[in-house]
Amino acid sequence: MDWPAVGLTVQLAFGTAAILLVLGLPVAYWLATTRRRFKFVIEALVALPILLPPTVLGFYLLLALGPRSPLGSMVLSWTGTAIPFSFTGILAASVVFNLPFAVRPFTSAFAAVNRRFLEASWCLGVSPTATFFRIALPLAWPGVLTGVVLSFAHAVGEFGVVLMVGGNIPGVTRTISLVVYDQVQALDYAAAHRTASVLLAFSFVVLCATFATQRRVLPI
Amino acid sequence: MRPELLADFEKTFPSGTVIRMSMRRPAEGFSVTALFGPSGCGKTTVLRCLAGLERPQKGRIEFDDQIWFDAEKKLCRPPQSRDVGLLFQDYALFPHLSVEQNIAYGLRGRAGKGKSGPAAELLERFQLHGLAHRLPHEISGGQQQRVALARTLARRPKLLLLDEPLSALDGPTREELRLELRNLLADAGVPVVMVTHEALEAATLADYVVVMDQGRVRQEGPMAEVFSRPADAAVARIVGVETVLHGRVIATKMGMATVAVGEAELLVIAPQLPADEVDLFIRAQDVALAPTPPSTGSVQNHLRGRVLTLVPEGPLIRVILDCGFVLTALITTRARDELVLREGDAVIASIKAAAIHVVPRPHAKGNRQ
Repeated sequence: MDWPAVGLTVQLAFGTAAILLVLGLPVAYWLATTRRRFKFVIEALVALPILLPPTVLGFYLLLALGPRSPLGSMVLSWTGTAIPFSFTGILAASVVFNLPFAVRPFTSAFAAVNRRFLEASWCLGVSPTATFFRIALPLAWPGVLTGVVLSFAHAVGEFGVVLMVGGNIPGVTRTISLVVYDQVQALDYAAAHRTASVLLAFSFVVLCATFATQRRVLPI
Repeated sequence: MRPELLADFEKTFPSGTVIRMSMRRPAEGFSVTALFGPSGCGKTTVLRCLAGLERPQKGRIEFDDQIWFDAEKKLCRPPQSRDVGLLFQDYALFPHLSVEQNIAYGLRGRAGKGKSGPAAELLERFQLHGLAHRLPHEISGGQQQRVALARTLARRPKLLLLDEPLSALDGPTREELRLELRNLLADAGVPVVMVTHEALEAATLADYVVVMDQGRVRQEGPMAEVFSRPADAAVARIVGVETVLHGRVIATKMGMATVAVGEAELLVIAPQLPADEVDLFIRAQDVALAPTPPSTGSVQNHLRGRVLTLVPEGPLIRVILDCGFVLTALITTRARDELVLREGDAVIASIKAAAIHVVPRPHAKGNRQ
């Protein structure tokens, strides 16, 4: 096994899931509770990565984060490093690409919370933010957990966007799924088999755990 | 000037439905105002506008010297800064919190917790002390209602809003809680605005009725007045029960009671009456008219009366009688022709004992033990 790649992948997946938890919860809560008519635009934007080829997304991310872009040049002047072909770059790309895998389960979990509970909380003098933490989040947490697990697992297996934005640099941006690609290219099928089967088993176990939790087979 | 709740607004839904409300009610002391009308008439919307959960397009809502909503000034206070308590139809108890946590939910900081805090006091007052650590789904419907009311009252709201407070309960529990609820509300000592579509609920809990139909106020006034003198046939149909009488039980015997209403005495069925003061409800279709007292028959109550007015309603005629109190009878046009009934005529009104609904009169403020 390529242990540096495993470590990098785990870091990337944890980072992605953590950032999506912080960024995705407010977006999802807003989507689930707002009565504004233009929310479908935001819903479509969030869902875009499901449809877009990773190459298209990766290409635009490269342009948006590159040293000549406003964002890229700002980061370059502050930190002295460019975002593309760095760990920060693949983390940013992974967050954008996994947005729907976190936000959509979050949104359906919040939407399933009876609005009466939120209204009752407001009428008891509790602010919208406090209501979110005291009522919405505790009631929606199984769905929130699903979103976190799915985005984590999906980030582990991400290939296209990571290749486009990260460029397959060993120890910096080369994750396990890129290792499999390299091993197959090098015709080292035995090694590819070892790496791929670990990824396969991991994904299957994660999905089993997620569905079992949802069906209440596994108590949490 | 006495503090007032002023609600004068218009709410339009995207579907085109318009709800118009206009009322002034006291904003101080105990009073119960019922928003009464058929399902879908807009009464719950009015309640939600008062709570701040819906925003009307036009008009204003004021409570005492606070402006809660003003369309022209584009001002709309959120529910958090309105000092209202709203009791939801399904109670909306937080399913993940215990009874005690639900009651203490709106209390700021640690004030609500502990053995002598307001939450503990409310648990005691609402007879919930043994249930403090249960979850909402582990207690009965009646208990859930008390928890919801205790939670609402914990913050000492200045206006209490109730949405169909008894509709989530089954028959016997509802009967029992109707009286209990009025007493609990009287104890709170604040104005109450209540939504209901049940005449009996409005009549027993409220002292002022606002009748709504198709998004508009049809009639408003003291409960007895609206129920005994509907402004028009539509209101009469909505209120259903035409005659509401206050009486005093003067004798009980073998499950029957004699109730004095002014000069008249009525025999009613009364299995158990905890109070001397009772409300009697008589539907117009249960009152029969005759020129002279029948010599025999099963009907127990015969009252001498005089016809005040005749109101035609299609094949029926609504006869308003003066029997010492106002009594409404609903008879067919044919019966009217046979009786040759005209205004001012003397008639005998007959009512079966079983057709008179008896409800112990809720304790008014002051005469509780």
